[in-house]
Amino acid sequence: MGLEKSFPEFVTAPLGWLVNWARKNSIWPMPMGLSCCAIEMMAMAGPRFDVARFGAEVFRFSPRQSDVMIVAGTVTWKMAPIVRQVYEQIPDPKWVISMGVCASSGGLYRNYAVVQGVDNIIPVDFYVPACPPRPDALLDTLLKLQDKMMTEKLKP
Amino acid sequence: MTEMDKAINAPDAGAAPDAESARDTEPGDFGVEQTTLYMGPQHPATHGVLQIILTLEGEKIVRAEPVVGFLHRGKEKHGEELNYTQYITFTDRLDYCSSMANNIGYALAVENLLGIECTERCQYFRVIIAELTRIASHLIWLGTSAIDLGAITIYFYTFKEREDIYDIFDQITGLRMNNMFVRFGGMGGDIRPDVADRIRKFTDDFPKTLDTCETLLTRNRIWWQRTRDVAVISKEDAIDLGLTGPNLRGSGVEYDLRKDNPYLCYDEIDFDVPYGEEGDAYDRYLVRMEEMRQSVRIIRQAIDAMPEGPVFTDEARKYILPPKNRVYESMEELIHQFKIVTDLRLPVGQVYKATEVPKGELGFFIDSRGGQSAYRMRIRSPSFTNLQALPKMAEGRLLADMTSIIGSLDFVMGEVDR
Amino acid sequence: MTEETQFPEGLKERVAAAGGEFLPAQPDGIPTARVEAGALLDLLGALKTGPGLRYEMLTDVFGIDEYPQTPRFDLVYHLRALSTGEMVRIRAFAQGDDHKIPSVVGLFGTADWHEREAYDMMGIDFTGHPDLKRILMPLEYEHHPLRKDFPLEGIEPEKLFKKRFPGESSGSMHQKPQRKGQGGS
Repeated sequence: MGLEKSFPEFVTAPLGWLVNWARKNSIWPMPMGLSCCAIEMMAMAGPRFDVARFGAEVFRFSPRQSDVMIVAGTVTWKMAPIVRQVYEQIPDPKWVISMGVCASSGGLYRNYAVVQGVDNIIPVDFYVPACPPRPDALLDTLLKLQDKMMTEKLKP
Repeated sequence: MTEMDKAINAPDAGAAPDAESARDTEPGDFGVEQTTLYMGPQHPATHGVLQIILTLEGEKIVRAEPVVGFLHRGKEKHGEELNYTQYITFTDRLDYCSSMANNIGYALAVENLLGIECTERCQYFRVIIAELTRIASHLIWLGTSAIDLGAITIYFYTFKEREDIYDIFDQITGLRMNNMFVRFGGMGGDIRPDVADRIRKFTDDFPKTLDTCETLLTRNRIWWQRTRDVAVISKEDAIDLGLTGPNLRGSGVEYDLRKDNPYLCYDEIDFDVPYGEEGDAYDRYLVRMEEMRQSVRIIRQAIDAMPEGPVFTDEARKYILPPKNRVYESMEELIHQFKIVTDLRLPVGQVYKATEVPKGELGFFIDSRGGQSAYRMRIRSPSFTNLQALPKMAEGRLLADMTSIIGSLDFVMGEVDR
Repeated sequence: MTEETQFPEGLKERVAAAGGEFLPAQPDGIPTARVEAGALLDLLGALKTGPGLRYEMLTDVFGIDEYPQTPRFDLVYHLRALSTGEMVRIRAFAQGDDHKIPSVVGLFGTADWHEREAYDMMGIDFTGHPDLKRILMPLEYEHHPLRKDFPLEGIEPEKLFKKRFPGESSGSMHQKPQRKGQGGS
């Protein structure tokens, strides 16, 4: 047989490392695609930037089946309870990427209707600046998220 | 289109399940009660943050009420606080699938108020940009409405083509989307010859992808069954509801702002505007596909006919920021820079300028009282008006037709909610 | 480039019949007429059906806040004739302290959402509207954002969210923004 000939019989690794390794290579994002950043997020899933190479192409729109919530776009106060409710429905462990300046800090819009940063509503792990961020930037964030996942401890 | 109808309706084509049979039942026939389903703002197929409150009897939709406002970002209020140049950045984010088309409409309104006109080269430039964004927006429509109905491959074809358009925008403006490139009396830059060649190459290659998509969809029985006679809107209803764009033309009303109220240099370019007959989702699909082909035709003519010369007139230099190195060298440019940033006032007046963006008629009404910002900035958004047709299209249909209806209306929430 | 105002056939007669008067020409060349709120339905009906050029499509309805003048809200109606592409603009003031004006939903179905938005943003009451409720702001929202006396940064914007999820700490936001180059003459 091929590659398997050079494998050892047993592999030892901390269980936490294995779990993290499996988790980071199959991130299932839940896209909270609200406005323009959603288009760049869709482009990230498209053929050129191809998030499938990182195992994250399964965009689960159901929060019960996802790990990461990507808040892509402007969060308004009308939408805020829904973002919060969906976030609470995601099972642990969960992470949040705030994509774009609107989600990170309110962006261009400093007015009566826009939440000045989604971190007023939910805890955020990564902020991706730019309006809108290039899909490369979002992929870079995904890689950083993978690094962060590797640092998680199995037992609290 | 009629040959297509004949071919598909040929005796051996197989019977399409007629939606009429779904309407043969009366309420309460199966003893089902009415349930309310919130097709919530967070949903893969609502194309943004739209909530539709559906009243269902089993699978049949009795009533569909769209709830909008989840992306209301107060753009009209910002129009009263920001000055006119700053507001260009806000107009991009209206229909973010076709950003620069919105800019063009806004710049035309402001130029009308200022009483200036851009150069001929700039007009052709704007037409090229408008048509490229039309193709980009229709490609998003095609990709997302196809993937909602299950044709996943089309999404990848269309997004690959969009990346080519984004590369062109990247080379001209520096950004992929939300480019904010149009200025009053000109543009933010010019097209280099190599970029012009790139645009020509795009017009040569793109129709092949359209052919591939058409091969996959147009005579596909599943596509036919899911879009023929679905989301029907009659001619009278379309005019009554104020629909514009492909939604209006799909119902047979021959109205396109580029032909009937020509702006920029559309009257010098030779192109056709496709119209439908039945007013259903399939006709709107065909209208948009043909519009993409016509856009390629327009771009080709415009890039070949584009005259040499400056992109902005001398008069417009009072309204466009000069290049930074000139600001440091020339007194006049320094004064212009100072005036434009701190004190650009428009004369008193009210203008309404409408352009044909991919979704329909986008209009800007600017009420200027002589200040640096508008007294009232009103955005007539095509998607807001088009979305009103959703209840009429959905009544009596099955729940599964909802994605077809939403896809064929092609609205974008940034424009609906502003 | 300013455009000349064209008056198509029958327009002047219909406006005069409704007791309206034409306002000075604007740079976009669209004929503008002001009419009393009571005659609004008659005028729009006459413009829709003729005699003369038929303006079949109502493209827009919105309000302009003339605070602190009274009457405060100036409604603008844009109509378009699909046969020629020409437009006409009709303006009417909302009457009274409760800012009432008849709803044109009976004539043009598209006015439904436009009037709801004018109600939501400015608080104009459209009498005869089938379902006048908020459309862009949450249903329980208490203010009318596009009024001139409403600040851009809002009044307690997080109030409804806090009702649902109490005990959350909001970040430092919604302070009064510093703006350079303010508008107004």
